[in-house]
Amino acid sequence: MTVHPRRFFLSPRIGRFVGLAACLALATGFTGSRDTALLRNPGPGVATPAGSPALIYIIRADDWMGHEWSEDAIRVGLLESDMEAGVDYEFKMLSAQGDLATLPSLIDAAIDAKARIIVTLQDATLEAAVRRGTTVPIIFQLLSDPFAAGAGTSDSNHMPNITGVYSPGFGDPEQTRRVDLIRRILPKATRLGILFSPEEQLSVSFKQRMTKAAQQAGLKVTAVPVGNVGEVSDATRSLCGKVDAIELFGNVAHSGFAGLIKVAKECKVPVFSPSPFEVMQGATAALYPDFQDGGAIAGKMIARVLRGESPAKIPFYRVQTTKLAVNPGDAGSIGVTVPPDVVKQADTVVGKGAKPQ
Amino acid sequence: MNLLIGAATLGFLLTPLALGVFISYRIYHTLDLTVDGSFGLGAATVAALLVIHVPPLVATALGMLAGVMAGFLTGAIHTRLRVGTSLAGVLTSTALYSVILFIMGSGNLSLASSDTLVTVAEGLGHRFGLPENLTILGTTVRGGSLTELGLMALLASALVLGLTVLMRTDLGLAMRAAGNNPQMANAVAVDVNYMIVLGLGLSNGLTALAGALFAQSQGYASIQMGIGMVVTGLATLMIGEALLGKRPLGRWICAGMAGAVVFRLLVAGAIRAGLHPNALKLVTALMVLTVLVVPHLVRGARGGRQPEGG
Repeated sequence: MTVHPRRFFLSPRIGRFVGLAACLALATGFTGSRDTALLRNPGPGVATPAGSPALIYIIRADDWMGHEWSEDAIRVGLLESDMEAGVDYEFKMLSAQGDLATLPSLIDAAIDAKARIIVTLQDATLEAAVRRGTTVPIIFQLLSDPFAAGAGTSDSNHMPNITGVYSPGFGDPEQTRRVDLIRRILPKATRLGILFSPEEQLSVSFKQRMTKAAQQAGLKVTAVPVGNVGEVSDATRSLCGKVDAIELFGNVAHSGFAGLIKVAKECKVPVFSPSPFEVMQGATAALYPDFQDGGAIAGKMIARVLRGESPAKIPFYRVQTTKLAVNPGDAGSIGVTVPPDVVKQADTVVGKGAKPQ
Repeated sequence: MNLLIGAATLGFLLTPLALGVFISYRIYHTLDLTVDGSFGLGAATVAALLVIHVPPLVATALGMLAGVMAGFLTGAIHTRLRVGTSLAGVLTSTALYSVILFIMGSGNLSLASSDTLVTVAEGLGHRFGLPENLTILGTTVRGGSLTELGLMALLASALVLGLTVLMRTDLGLAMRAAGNNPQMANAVAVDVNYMIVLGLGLSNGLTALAGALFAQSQGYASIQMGIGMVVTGLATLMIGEALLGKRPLGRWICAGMAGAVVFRLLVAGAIRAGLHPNALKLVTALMVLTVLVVPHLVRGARGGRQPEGG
């Protein structure tokens, strides 16, 4: 059987071959768009040539406003350690955009690019990095539980290439302080509603601790689970008229905060949050771990590692301090007055156009 | 090199997912939305068993079995209660969310201190002289990465072979007949409802196996692991079909594996391109589109034949 040359070149088999070749070319980086800066950087343990900044990969599992804060705070820590961006180090950001299957590939990409340090911003990222078994120094920033990720068994006994900053942040003293804050702003409150994510271990733990602290303070607690972002508004509505204040824990509740605050304002129920960003969006007050302190310490850890110190000799740092943000304006719009002493005590007072400091 | 090895490993690891979607979508012509739940169920079951030191092989088998049960449930809701397959899948998947929480006791379970198939394979590799680290094309690669790649490639190939053989048996023919032409299958004494339940069980069992392998590869299980897996499964299958075609049957099934590997390689390519982090999914989608379109364009130029994929 004779095959016309044109038919041969345009046959489905050839088409598939062309498709496969195109994909392999894209995958192996023959696209010409590869960041050539990656090629210039030496591997771990290799001295950085003069004039070539050390490549630091910041990897996150998902995108969240707080990450930008963390990254800025890390820069502050590096600056305080006399490390200059573009001269001593260069940041490279990678995000899995919520796709957990992509996380290991991001870690691999950083290793292949001969990153001097990998900074992990979420527990899932650290878990993926630990699993890859790399020897590249890893510094985590403001995780909730590095021990569950397998990074170590105590602050000083940890994997030799891993250190960082964590904040279980919402333990018993903090929850008691959280209840005290509600009491100071709402002295007549007797009922507290809590939105939490049952699928998030920490969220459940916080809810339990907060419930215990609130009950000890004489508050009746109604806890409502939220399984997905779409349920947050309805869950908030279910609390309307039944509670005097709402507290929230967990990524789902935080992701659905826009819906939550809209309903809460309609019902004139003040919202208390563990996130300062939500105070900017209308929550009455937030008691939160000191992101900036943690980030700056992580930045200083990075500087120490860049100067040759082993992460094995740098103990994990647990963020000790909490900060207070209040929003008297939005509180006033639902008939709640934030007492002047609370405003005075706050680290951040959110008003029109103001931002947390 | 690490990126390529990791991506290929992930591709082989997700092959059971593609094969599961192949059974429901191509054999039974139905979009089974149980997939998101059964993937997470497989991951959760294996993690919960591994932390209490159940042998990894047994835990993986039980993870797969849990997925089979989920598929049976969807099949039973569809065939016995006359609920559409998609809605039955949604209902099962929704219920599985709570089941997974009960199994794990929380939304996240770490396997950091547990033996898994991956660590066992790594140990075997070292026993046979594989070094801790080795250099390939100038890049340091962990020996464990290679054993993991080998393990997943072996498993994926065995599954492809097994499914191809199964589909050529009388049982497989009956399943295909029940999916392609239920009336005719019924006329030749094939119990169509039974075949649907069986097929969905097998499909979700494979999906749960993918979840079980994924959890062991990642070192933890999370309630969020299954989210979006039905889309991933469809994408991998269609990429594979675009590259390998649908005939003969063996090649069609093999397309599931090829699609899974190529899809992860494309994601790796998008990461390697070093673009803005926010652009990752956009670039991945464009790359997948390129791979899907090129064969079709060639076929179109050849004489306007209808595309096979999608």
